[in-house]
Amino acid sequence: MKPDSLLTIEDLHIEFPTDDGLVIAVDGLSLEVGRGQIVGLVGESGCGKTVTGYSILGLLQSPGRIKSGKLIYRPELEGKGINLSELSPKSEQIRRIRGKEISMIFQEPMSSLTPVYTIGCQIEEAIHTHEKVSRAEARKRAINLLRRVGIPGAESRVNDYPHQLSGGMRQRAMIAMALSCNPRLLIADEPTTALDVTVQAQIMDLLREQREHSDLSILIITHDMGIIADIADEVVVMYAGVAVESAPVETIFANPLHPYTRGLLASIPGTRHKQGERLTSIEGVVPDWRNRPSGCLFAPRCPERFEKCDERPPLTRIATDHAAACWKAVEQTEVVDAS
Amino acid sequence: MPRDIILKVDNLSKEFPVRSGLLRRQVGTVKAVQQVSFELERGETLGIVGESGCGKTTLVRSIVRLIEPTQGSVKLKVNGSEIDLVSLSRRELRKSRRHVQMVFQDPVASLNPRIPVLEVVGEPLIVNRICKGEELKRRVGELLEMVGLRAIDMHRYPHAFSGGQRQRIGIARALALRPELVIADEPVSALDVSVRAQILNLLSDLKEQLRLSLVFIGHDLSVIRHICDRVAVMYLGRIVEIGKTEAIFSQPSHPYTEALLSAVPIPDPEQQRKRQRIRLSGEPPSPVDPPPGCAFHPRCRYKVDSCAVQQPELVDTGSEVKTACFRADEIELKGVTE
Repeated sequence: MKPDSLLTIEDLHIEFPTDDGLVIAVDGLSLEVGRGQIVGLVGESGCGKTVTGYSILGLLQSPGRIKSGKLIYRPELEGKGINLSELSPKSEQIRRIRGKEISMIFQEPMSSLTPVYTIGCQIEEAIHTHEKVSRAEARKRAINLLRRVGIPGAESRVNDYPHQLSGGMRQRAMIAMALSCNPRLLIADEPTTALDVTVQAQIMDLLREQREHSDLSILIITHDMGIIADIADEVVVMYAGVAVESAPVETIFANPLHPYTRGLLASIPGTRHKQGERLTSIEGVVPDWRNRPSGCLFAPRCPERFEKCDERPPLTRIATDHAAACWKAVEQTEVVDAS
Repeated sequence: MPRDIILKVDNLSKEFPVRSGLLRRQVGTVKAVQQVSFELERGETLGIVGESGCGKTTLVRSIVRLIEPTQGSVKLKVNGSEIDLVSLSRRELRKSRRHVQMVFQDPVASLNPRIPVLEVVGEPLIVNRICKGEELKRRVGELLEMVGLRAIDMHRYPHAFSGGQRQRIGIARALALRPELVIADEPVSALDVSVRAQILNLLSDLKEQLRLSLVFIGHDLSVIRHICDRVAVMYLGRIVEIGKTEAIFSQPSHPYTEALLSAVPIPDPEQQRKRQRIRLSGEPPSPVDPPPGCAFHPRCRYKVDSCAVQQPELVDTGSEVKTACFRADEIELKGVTE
């Protein structure tokens, strides 16, 4: 564990018991978010990246539950930090953390804002929940926040209802609300997927500014390698509920070790292809939850599988800051530190 | 060699009335598509890009008359003769529809969950009384194999397939009548990256095999660049730039195109982080009340006084690109290089 760690996820398992059987959403995920760091959690739909985000704040929807694993927040506190996975979703303690210490923004801002109150009201409510301030003070802070996230005419916009704002402005308002109590960690779940590219670029600039401005740590959850390349410091690639590779952003792009990461990068049109040339695609589909391979989860689609892949490979450190869950990668590289 | 133009769209416009109040009086018009003209050669793929609300979907729906265009003409060349889709009667239109087929974004929403794939894909053949019975099964089997599925899949229902496979079914259905022209409206936007690559490869193969002419709507510029020969950039209902894909990507001549290209992150941290960022402020204006002159001028970094007064026409810049900007000749714009 690094000394400047803010959140450490250790061997997280999340499952959803359903009438049809047990769905394993996250199957042993470990990652670390440092202070002031932007960590990208990337993967395709259904890989468990969103439930990971939800589990941090105790927002898993029933019947989802954390089966095992630790979510250590601020490990320096009392020498061991707060284990978020042990807190009940309705406990006073998680409520004090949710929105105050750690806040979250979602893909579709309209579904996280209530249509019947003005955005000013909703931001002020977040402030009043966590701090004892006068109404005038809360209003002043709401206006300042809207200004900080780049909403023009913040003084009048504060009285607007969500439907009066455009998609990009709503996401800005959501960010303002998320930042209202100066959190240490922001979880951003596909924050720009519903937005146009020019607006997406503005929101990415905004997130970058907030990190500079207040040493905010960000866990950004996305499927878009472009966003990762743009904003992340560290990257964790997820596949079927497990982290298959983690490294600094430059390393992931320059020297991907896991065949899934390589496949993912190769299937992006553009950088590695001539126009009209065939794209490299990953054959097959993500394993069905009823029928999870007991060995490496990617093996059925992997062009490099061999006998050893019948056994599940752990995420193994291959260079000081580069880890991959792949036997081939382990074999090909001298393992620096078997962790 | 003379150019073999399969589709000629001329001055096509679509306005929607805005109604309000008890009497539903018309209080304004949304100018969704304004005076769009372009040509498509046989075997060519034209990409249409732009942000949400720029009118790209309305444009293609007006072309096939799923929406009635307000004015303009759409000439389609079928077996050597030209038909104007806009002036056809309902009955004639139904007959001509088989020459133009669409592939939609959401394969789930565009497939009926209650009928098996045989009928989903075979429906156009049945409706047009082309074949039935054993012959129908044979044809559907061929179509499924062409799009990378198995012939026996025809007895399964859409829910049994993954997103990528469903889009393959959608493509098989569109190809059932051997159309002259296929219009694909964001066909890969709902798919994951690895599956998206499979579908794009399929489209490229089919394009080659069948010499398909394709209009491809998309907002993902890397996809457009990969698959399209030419590209049209739309802003607020108008084409602001159209031409060879490589020319436009490497050196755009309209400031909006430049900003659009700059906004798309390059999936390579080294390149992406040293790029000069061109940021548009604000968001596109409302098509109910577009700004006077060039619709882009309020957000343009290169604007001059005349931009607010006059609407620039699409003019040739010389390098097989047409652009609607008064200053196209004077300004040097940045594209994306590899």
